[in-house]
Amino acid sequence: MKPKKDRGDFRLRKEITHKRYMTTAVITFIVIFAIWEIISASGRVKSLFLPSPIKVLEDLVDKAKDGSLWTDMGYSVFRVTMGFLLSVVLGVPLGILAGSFKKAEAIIAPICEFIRYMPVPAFVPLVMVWCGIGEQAKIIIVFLGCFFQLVLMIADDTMSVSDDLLSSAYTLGTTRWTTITKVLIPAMAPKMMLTLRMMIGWGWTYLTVAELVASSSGLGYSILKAQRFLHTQSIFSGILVIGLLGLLTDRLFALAIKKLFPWAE
Amino acid sequence: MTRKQQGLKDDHAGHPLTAHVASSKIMADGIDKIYTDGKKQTLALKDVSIDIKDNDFCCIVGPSGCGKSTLLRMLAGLDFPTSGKIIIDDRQVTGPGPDRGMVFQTYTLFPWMSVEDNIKFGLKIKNMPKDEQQAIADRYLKIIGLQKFAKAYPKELSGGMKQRVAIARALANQPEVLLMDEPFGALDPHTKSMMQLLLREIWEQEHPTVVFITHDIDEAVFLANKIYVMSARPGRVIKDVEVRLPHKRELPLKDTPEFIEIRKNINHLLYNTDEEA
Repeated sequence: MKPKKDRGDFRLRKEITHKRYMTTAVITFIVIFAIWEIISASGRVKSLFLPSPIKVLEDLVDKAKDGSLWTDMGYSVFRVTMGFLLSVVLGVPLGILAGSFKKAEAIIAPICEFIRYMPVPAFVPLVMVWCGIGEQAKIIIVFLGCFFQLVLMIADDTMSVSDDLLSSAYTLGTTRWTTITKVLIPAMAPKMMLTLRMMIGWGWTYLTVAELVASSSGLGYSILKAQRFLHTQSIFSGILVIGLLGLLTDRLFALAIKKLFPWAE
Repeated sequence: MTRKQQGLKDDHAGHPLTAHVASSKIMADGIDKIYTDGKKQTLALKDVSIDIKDNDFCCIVGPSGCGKSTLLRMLAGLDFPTSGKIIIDDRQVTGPGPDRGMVFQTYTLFPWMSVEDNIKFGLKIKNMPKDEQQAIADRYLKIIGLQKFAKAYPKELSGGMKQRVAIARALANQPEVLLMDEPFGALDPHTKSMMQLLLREIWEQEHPTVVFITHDIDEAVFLANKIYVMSARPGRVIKDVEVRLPHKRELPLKDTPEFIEIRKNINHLLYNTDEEA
């Protein structure tokens, strides 16, 4: 019998080479854009509803040339960064506290669980009443979206550090404080970075919500403005830019994780 | 027996801490442990007493769930008895400390540190000068035969190597007592034998006081000078057995009639049946 030819790409969890992975990913992008172009070129859909990818790219180039792309991007990146940093600075210590001490957990976790189920967009009007539509408002909305989730996820990361690891630190002479600083935090660091990587993605979502509703600048606002003028290609290019920025941050985080924790399994 | 005498002495003196005999390093006296879960109470340990001499190698064997690990954690100060007391070096145990090193069944090396830094961890906590740290680390790397892996991360090591480093890390700290909770339980039989041999060798060279928990009777007889046999829950000490085998232990010892006899004895104590096969 002839041996079956099996490259095995569809065996469960079978590894493929990096190159193969990358080509497959790139081809997927190209195919989707090609289908998009074919549909709009066929003329069956009005360009008001679906502008061709070429037109979207042209719009992008125009905005880059007149500089509005960079200003909007600057505003949005600034807001997302500030809101995210604020929730990290406050949320990470609280999460570690909740994950380390049951009493702290009892104070912190239930209230965070409660608040995180409140939809952030519903807070936008309230934030506008409190802070108007200045920079603060957007930063606070990103913060509200990220903070409560972050606390709970960091608490989980903290609790995932094995008891035996902490016990062995104690038997080597650490105190409660040095166990936290020298063992618990380094041990959870890679998981924590993964959590932050996920969080910043959500940060972009909440930022866009804020900019759509309560803003006069930024990428979200540019999308809203485009809609008012029925400038559909501008809506597309705005969404595309946010997507690309998200992808870029995600890749940066992935790279940082790889470089920072070469020891992680 | 021993415990009763000890107990009498304690009662008589009224000051158990001063009255206790100098030669015993670790003393657990009348330990009970009750776990409370809501209204349900579980008696895990019942009137357990042990007495281990300085520089001795002692194993505690018993079926799973007999509370032997709990007992060891109490010696480490990571858990506390419901009643009774634990005295190590004339002091009652109130919490964990660097005088009692511990090796766990799970791999507990710090994954972000190299093998060498893992071994130095306790010394760094003590703020020992760097060159002394290095000297000690080098010595133990040599003893466990992993000099080549000094700069490697734990993820690059096999299970047996990880446990060797864990032993080195505990010993480098120069503890009074080395507590081992089934450290070879997750290893394959061959690696396990090699580790037993290595551990016994280390003990012959350095004579730390070792308390070693296992459910592997073979392992206990091969390693120990004295074995405490415990019953199933609630855990009690059924008997302590002196292992009268040569000081120097080699693997062929496991096939000698003396070895088999002791193993049979302990099996009988544990299961009340004669060993099959």
